[in-house]
Amino acid sequence: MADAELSFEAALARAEEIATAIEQGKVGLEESIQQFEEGMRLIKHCREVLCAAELCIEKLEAAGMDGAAPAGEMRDVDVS
Amino acid sequence: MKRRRREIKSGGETPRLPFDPDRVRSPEPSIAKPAGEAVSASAQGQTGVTESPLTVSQFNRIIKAALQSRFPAEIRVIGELSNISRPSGGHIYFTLKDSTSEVRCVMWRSSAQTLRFDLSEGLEVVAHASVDVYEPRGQYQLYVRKLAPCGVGALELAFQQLKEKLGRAGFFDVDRKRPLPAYPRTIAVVTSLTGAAIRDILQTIARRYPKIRIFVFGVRVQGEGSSEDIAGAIRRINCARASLGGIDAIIAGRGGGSIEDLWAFNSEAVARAIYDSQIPVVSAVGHEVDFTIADFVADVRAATPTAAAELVVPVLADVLHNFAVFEHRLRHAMRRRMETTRLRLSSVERVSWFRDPSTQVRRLHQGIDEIVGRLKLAKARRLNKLRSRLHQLETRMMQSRPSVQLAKRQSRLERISRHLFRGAEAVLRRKGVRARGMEIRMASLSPRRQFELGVLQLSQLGGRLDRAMSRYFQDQTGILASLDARLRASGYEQVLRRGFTITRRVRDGQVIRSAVETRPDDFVLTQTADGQFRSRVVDELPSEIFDA
Repeated sequence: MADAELSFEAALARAEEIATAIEQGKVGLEESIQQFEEGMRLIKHCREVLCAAELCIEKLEAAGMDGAAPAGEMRDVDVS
Repeated sequence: MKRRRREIKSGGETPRLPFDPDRVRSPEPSIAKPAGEAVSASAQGQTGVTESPLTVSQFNRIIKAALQSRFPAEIRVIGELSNISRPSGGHIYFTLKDSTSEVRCVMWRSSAQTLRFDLSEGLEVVAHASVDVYEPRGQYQLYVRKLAPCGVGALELAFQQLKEKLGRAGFFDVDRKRPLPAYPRTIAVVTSLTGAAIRDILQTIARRYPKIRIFVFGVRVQGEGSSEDIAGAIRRINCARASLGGIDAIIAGRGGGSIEDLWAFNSEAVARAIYDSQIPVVSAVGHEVDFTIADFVADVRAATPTAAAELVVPVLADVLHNFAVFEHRLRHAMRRRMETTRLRLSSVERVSWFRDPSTQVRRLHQGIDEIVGRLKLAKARRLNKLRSRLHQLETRMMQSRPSVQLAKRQSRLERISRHLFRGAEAVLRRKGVRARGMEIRMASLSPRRQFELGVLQLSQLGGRLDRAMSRYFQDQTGILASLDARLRASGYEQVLRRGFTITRRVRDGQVIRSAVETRPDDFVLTQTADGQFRSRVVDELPSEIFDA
């Protein structure tokens, strides 16, 4: 589920920016349309990423000198 | 018994041996009292009334035995800590004292290690100790097994001490607390793998937001080594966060329990691990009312493990709703924008220019024509005005030509000169001078010539003045001389009355004083008192007339 794309925070912040810009009407019409499309794209993307994500519980164990490493899925905890 | 205790405590008079030496069991029977020792049953606590005195070692041994039999294996003594010394060996030496007395104490390392709180000068404690004598020095001491602070539990005191220390060091400062991310993708949980805490956390997350990755680091949460486990887990997660794909938050906690059970979360090790953590830490220790040091240091404190999970993850439905709200807002903003533009467009279209351009153009043309007409009119008017003004100026210019001016002035000058001449003439005629000739002469003379004439006149006048002055002086001198003569004459009138006379030569009027001053035939004038007569000198007679 590792995504190197924009985090939700960043995406929503950008969408917020766009919404404000359009509301204030300071930008030209054509650019407003472009920004609107970008904003909608961002939110759609966030929704897709979120829906695709899954709950994943893994055990961590001590590794190396001071490190930690995953040690497999946790099955012995009942999360239902 | 009670009485005895008090005596010992306050250090009253030296107690006698309240025992029967016969019944004393020495630990080293080989160095038992030598034969014939006066530890006889008869001695009611009296030694020294014997054949030979005790050695110091014997005496100390007896004391030791006496103390050990007198006191139970463990007693409790209350007092203030003082003179605390902790050499490297790990044992603690200190003095316990009250207002009037003190006693030396020692706490072996094994006991000292169980101390939960720091020892400080003046701290009031209850020492759980046994009494013993250090024979080589003849010193009795309390061998302390356990120290409990007075008024408050050992753990409470330790808690207070650590809280104060870390508080001063800024561990609890609000500015250093970080906010939790709004949309976490990966989190780590440090807790026991058994117990309610982990189950509560995982169930809560699964319910609310089953969209993240959770790393669980199982640790001991109480007992030996638990604080090291917990601190170590937090540190390791920090070290490995990059390789784990980024950790957004750590939940560290455990279920409820006694203060002893929760003690690991009050340790300095855990506090430091949380303080040093680069990842925000949520503490979830025990129940609502439990507050541990970890809670104070953490970025966020959760009352329970469930609460921690709720703080860390949002509700999925809310997030999706949030997205929808955003989309709605964007659409709404866009619609409004379009609407605004449309309105502007239609209002622009309504403008007459767009509707009927040719009429507008014609109107403008008309306006231009009108303006041109007015301009022409104005121009003509202005030209006329200028022309008439020019004409006026020309006329005036002609009238004030230099030649005209000059002629005017010249005639004026002539008039004035004529006036002057007539006036001067009248003045001069009144003075009786031959004005005309002079006037003509003077008028025709240049100023320089007039000046020269003036100078000449002046010198002529000067000469006349001189002559007049000298004549005057002469007259005056004459007057003066005659006045002098008269003066003289009047002076000798008396003499003349007596018969004397004054004879003067007529020739020059010289008074004759001597006969030799005359010559025959000289006329002389003789003055008498009342007149004078003239005579002629016949001859000079010798003077013997008078000598006789």
